[in-house]
Amino acid sequence: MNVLEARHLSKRYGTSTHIALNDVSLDVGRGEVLAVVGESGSGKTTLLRLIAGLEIPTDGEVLLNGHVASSARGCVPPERRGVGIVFQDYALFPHLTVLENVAFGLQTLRRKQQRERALQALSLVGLLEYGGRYPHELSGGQQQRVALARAMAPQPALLLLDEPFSNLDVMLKEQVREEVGEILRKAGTTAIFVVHDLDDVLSVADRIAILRDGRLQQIDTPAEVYRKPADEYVARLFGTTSLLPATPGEGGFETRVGFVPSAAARDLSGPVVLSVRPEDVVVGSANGGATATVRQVRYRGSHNELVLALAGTPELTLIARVAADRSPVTGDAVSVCIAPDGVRILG
Amino acid sequence: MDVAQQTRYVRPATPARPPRLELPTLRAPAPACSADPSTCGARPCVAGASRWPSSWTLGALVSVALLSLPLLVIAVGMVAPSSATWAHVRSTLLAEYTLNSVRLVLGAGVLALMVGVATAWLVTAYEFPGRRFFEWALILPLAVPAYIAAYTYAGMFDVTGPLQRMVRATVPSLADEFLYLDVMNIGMATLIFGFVLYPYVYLVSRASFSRQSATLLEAARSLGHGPMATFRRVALPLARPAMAAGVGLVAMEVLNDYGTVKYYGVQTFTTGIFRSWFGLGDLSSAIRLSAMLMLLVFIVMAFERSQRGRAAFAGGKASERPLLRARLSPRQALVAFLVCAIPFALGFAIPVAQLAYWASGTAASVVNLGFVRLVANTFLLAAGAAVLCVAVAVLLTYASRLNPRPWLRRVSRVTVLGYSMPGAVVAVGVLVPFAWVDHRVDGVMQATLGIPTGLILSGTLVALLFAYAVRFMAVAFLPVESGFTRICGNVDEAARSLGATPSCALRKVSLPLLRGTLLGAVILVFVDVLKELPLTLILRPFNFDTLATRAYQLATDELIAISANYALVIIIAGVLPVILLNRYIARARQ
Repeated sequence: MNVLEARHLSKRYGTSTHIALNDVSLDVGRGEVLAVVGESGSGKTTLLRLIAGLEIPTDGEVLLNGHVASSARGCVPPERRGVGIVFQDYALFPHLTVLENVAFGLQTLRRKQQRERALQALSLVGLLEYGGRYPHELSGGQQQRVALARAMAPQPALLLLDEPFSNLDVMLKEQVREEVGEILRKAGTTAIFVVHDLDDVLSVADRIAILRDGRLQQIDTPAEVYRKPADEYVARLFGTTSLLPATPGEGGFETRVGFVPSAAARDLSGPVVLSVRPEDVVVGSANGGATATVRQVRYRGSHNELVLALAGTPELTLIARVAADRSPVTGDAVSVCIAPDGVRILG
Repeated sequence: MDVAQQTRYVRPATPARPPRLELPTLRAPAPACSADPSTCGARPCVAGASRWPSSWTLGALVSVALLSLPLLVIAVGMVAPSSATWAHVRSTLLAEYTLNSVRLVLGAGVLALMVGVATAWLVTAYEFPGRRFFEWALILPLAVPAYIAAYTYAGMFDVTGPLQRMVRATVPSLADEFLYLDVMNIGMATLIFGFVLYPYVYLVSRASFSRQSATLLEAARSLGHGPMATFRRVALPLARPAMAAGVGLVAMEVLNDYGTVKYYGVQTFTTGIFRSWFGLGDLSSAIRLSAMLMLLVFIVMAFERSQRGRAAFAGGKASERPLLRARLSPRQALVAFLVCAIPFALGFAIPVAQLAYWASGTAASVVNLGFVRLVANTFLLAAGAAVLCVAVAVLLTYASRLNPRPWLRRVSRVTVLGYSMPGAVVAVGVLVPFAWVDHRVDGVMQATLGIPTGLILSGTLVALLFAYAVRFMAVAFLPVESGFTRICGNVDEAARSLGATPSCALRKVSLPLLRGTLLGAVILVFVDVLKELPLTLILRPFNFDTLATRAYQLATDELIAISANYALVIIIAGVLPVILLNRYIARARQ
């Protein structure tokens, strides 16, 4: 049985005509980690608040462990849903110590057990010796882990993490990301991450759901989303990409920059749009392809990014990546082709 | 005052201002201001190079010295040899004064705390019919001076008052029992203080509740706590410092009061000071009682400070989503409505309605040229005091901006202490040095020219204005100071870098920007002076009355219906800053 089922969830705030969340359905199985990715205003926070019972849906239902927990008619209040939340700003209680914070959700237990469980949760996040401190006496990364311990201590059926890494600086982020993933895996927690940066969850999530303008664009494993993005928007989430119209042929695609060998072309007919990563655009190759003019050179440190306008169809641009020391300059004419299997089919 | 005060708790540290560059100006002052040297003082100044303090610094220091004089007088008087009457006061009355003052402070404090916190939480966290009205109407009792509420209720419970007449008309059998109902006691005084002063707690608690990040409360809910448990374990402890500040203000107002306790026959420190001075003519006993009263005030302040502790109460950033108001069932909504309606009715609606009723019967004979003249005189005096306070506040603030040394800032803040001094104490503290100067001048003039000059300062409007400045400086200083950092930022420094002299930058840049803040400060002081009673009673010139003293005098002479006309003018004027305050808070929240 699924821990969470969202059925045709929609949310409209107040009398606003804008639909924050539009007919979203998804489910999360036991022990699964789902990442909901979207930019601000995509409805991802709304989805999280609906699951947590902090908002009432305009339409649709939320089922927790098979029971309806939210519908347009009403909600099981947040305190009785068994859903833990790690808030974006951590929301640690400033008047309580770290240990008191973690024990906060263990009201139903005896005092001694409360302490035991809280200490257990603290040791899980590696902060056992910080129990007596106050939240403001900890670093951002430590506060984050306290928030995680606090949400996990009551052993919720489902853990929600709202932008858990957005308040951390870049150096810390990567480390915390892996730690959190490790902690969740170790505890076998069912969790939903809500993030705006795909990079934050690629290594943590079992599946990724992509939200845009309140609609669910795609939901699949990270590898599958990368291999076959639903549209340009999803393709761009993985970084810079160029779009290229193509027709499938024998063992590859026929494109404006020549034939691209690809196994993906099999079983396809009719024109398609391909997504090409900069690293798959080969500049200055000897054999074949097309001629292009370097319109712009963007310095990126270890490499340069070239914006290439194809001869004959200047409205079609490709973005390529070349080593900084072998980079052409603006205005140069170069030959260009695409590496074999270097394309993803949209849709 | 309350708003400015409680910001201390939410913002643990004021952002440090970048250090000022004090470079000598190498070129002549820019034309921006120097076109007319006579108005702008185009003297090229070499800031920081002068070894002498600037005239601004000097002016600030002189103001601070003058304004802290009364406090010093009280402190010195404490160790001066005591009079014979003091021994009598100490042995017979001191215990009663102390006991009554403490009982009033505790009783009113607890009542104001319960009413203020309950109403503040209801209007912040729940949606119910009338909430939007109560949100600001619950502040209105601040416009009713306690002494006016005191004699209004006394009049209502009186044998000839409306309550007893109603009882006699409807249930004659109860009339006999009711006839002996005596409300003129400390219990009733406590109730009146509680219901008139609870807005201090309400205001700061409401500000604290509405600033609490909703995510903290949602976090508590997601951790298994229902709405009540969330309130008890998160919202309430987070608001504790704010609540303590509110109760502290209530306690200070209770200690400051003279009219209510005198009317209800409760002996406290303030009545003791009046008795020593007017009854016994013993200034040294009055000083000693003042010093002891200050001690109580300091205890209250120490208690308030102790409520802050190690835990940080900042809790999140200002930009966070505010709390979503929960809807209540019809029955719960009714309870919420009543909890808000009762304090509003008792603290404002009922006394004002009663006063209006009395006034409507007497206005025809009371409101004449003399009445208008009294109103005009009072308004002029209050306006004068308000402008004086704001001007000095600007001087103090701007001086420490020009000369940004920590000690100058700290010294300027000493003037804020005056607000914690009860009016009667300030009056005593002003009386002594002014009388001393008068005697000296008189002595010198008699000896040299043979002309007795008598009292030049004592018993004049100068003494009264000075005392108002001492007492109400904080009311002007706090908004002006925060206005300078908030509104002006570094623009006056930008003006200086463009060649404007300090006074030119102040006149052309800062003051125009601060117009709203200055006006707000003037209004706050104006209304405080209008309501002030004990200080005015002691220091007013012979045969000079303000609205407050006349209203109180008439009420004491059992002419309550006539007094109601004067009281209403004070209350109507007092509603003005309440509206202002509410708009300010609403704007701050956006």
